[in-house]
Amino acid sequence: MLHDIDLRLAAGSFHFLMGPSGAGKTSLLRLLSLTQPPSRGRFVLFGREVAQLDRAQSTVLRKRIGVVFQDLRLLDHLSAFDNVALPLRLGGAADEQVSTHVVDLLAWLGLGEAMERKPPELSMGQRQLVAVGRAVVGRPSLLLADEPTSNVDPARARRLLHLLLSLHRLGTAVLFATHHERLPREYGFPVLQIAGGCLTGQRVLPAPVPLSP
Amino acid sequence: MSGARVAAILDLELDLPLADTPASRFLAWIAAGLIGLAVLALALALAADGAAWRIAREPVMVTVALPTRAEQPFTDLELGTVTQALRRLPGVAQVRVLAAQDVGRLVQPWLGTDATLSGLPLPCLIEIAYEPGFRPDPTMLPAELATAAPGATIDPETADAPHLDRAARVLRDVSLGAAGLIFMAMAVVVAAVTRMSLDLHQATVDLLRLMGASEDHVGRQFEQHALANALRGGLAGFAAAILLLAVAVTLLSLCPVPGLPDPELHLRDWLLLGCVPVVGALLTALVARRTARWGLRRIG
Repeated sequence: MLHDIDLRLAAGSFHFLMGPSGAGKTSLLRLLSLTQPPSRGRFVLFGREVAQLDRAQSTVLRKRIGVVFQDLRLLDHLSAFDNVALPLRLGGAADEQVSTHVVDLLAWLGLGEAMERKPPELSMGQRQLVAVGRAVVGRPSLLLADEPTSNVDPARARRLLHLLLSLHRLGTAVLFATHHERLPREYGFPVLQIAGGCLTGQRVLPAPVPLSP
Repeated sequence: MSGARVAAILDLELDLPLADTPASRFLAWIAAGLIGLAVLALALALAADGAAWRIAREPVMVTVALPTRAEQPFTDLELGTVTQALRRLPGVAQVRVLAAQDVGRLVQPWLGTDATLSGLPLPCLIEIAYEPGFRPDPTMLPAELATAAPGATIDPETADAPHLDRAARVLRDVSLGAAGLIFMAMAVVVAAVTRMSLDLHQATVDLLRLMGASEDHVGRQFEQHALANALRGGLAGFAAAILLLAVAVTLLSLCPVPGLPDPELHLRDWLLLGCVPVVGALLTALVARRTARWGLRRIG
């Protein structure tokens, strides 16, 4: 249960969200992705009061949010290409545009050879990349990522983070949930601390001390 | 609808894995059975309607027997008075007094060819032919006869002839009702399957909605899936029913049942039967879409 959350995410901002397991990271991301409505309080998203939105307005706002779920939630009956293409198709993009965009993105993610494979035929790391691809392909205004690098090797994790940074530079607000301190220390973005369902503070972790003199 | 469009509908790739739902897998089979039954019911209704129409077109013939008077046969004047009275009845086209030889031919099967008819008290028979398509009021003729020829009787076999077209119309209405019930059953099955599928795939539906899928889009997924299955199953059921009908019509024409009109289906009837799988598929699609949208509102 979340409580005492006072959070403002500006357009083009980048925040890490850190906290122990069960602290409320996923709950906060569900709230921000309009999956779970708040029981009380005020929630303004893209300048709109969420409580006053009807279904159609919520649907329009959801198209501006990209989400990487901790459990990935890929559609097993669709290929990697179709999984990534889904947000564009739901947004009404033309087939040609979808094709070009998705092929480029999958190639960049290192999944060029695997784009016709279905999620059960992919490794865990590849699936995670597909989930990230699906979240970013529509160039969302808000990207919510729940442990997006937990199952990929360090090289791919760095590549993924570069992708998120590129989006951030293009104006996307990114909220990146993680329980590793390495990435916040390395990149120097502010960290939101959450514990017991409550935001306890915001700080910037110091960069790691180089081992070599 | 173009061939390519039909092919696209039959070979769907949907965002929702609806083909994996156990109940959904049987939708095509259910559609095949129900559409087949609906085609048979409608064919029976059309054949009965055609028979009723043909029977109604045939002129009603009623035979009246004047009471036997061996000692004082009817004079031409008396017969003329009776036939004049009968001609005045509404819808009567022709009134004919049967000649003695005709009456003799009628009784021949019972009395034999060598029987001497002159000594027998044969009735005087009057044949009334009504206008084609006219249905006489069953009370008017007895009332007229009571005045013009007291004691005259009406041949019950000819008087009952109009009941056959009434029976054909009843058969048509019952068959149409059965076809309607089959469509209703189909709608109920589709609604139940759609609801089950929606419950089973709720997590995926939630995911699609999270990515910005509208209710309309999700509803269309169920609609397209149901439409594809209903078309596939409906066409198979239609083919099976047509095969069965062809066999039935052939058998009936080879061994006709006395008194039963030939089952005839015209081009218009075949075209109507061809509409059954299409109507079934459209009904299925509509019910699936409505049920899905109703279910999505229920989920919230």
